[in-house]
Amino acid sequence: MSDPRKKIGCVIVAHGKVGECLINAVQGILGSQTGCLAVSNAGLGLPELTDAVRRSIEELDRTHEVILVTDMPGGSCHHVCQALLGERSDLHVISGVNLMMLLEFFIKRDRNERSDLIALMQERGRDSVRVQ
Amino acid sequence: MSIVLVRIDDRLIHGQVSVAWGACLSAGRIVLVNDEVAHTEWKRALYSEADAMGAAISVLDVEGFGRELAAGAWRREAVIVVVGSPHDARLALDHGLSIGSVNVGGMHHAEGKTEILPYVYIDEDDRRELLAIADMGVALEARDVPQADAVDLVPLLAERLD
Repeated sequence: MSDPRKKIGCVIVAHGKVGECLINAVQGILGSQTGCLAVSNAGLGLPELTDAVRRSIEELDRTHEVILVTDMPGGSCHHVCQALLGERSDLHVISGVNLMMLLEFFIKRDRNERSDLIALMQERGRDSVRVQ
Repeated sequence: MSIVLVRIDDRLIHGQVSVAWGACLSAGRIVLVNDEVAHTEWKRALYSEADAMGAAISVLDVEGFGRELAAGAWRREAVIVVVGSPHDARLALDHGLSIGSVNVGGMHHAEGKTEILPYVYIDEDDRRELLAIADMGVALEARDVPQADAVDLVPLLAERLD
């Protein structure tokens, strides 16, 4: 169930500097944003990465409903997030992050329920992949 | 006619315009007024497809823009008008554009230009054109993204730059 008192936040769990760079890019376009953290898997084993994601969720979840966003289905970042779904029923994970998916998140998060927002992110992320 | 924003931006249509301002103002159309783009087929095609958020795009030269305005185009849409320079903004106003303020969004660093804000670099020609716009009674509001604070540009235009 969604909690109307909470904003929606996200934790981007991704390889290398992908997460922090995407947040930088979003802020270059939309201005500074709150309620969004990046976790990198660089140099971390699965237990350490799990702890790092858990800490980021805990940092946000008093004031935010959290969406976990990962870069690659089937990668360590995504596996760790999927494992956390088993610990907490209030989490959601979406994979395949790209810039348009994240922009959609920030633009639409105040006007949508979390489950609807995730569907919008999926649609926008897919729609932004175009061949000319 | 419902023009919700007129923006000077040397990147023309890009993320800050289509995503940030477009979403903030629920723009249904972005009108790019630029002679060079309108008259260069590949550039025109490039910008005509540029909007990632689904707004319609029109690319017009200044004369064509004036004709559309005179014909009463875009009455039922929320429209963002983008020009690449103070010169083009002044021309658009001369061609019948009616608006209370012009948003100065991005005028990036180039040879011979002076920084007056981190995202606004101008030379004396730009300064004169901006002052001409202000003299028409149009406010000059510098603001790169919607959530940033608006800065009145006029006090920053007091000194000659040549």
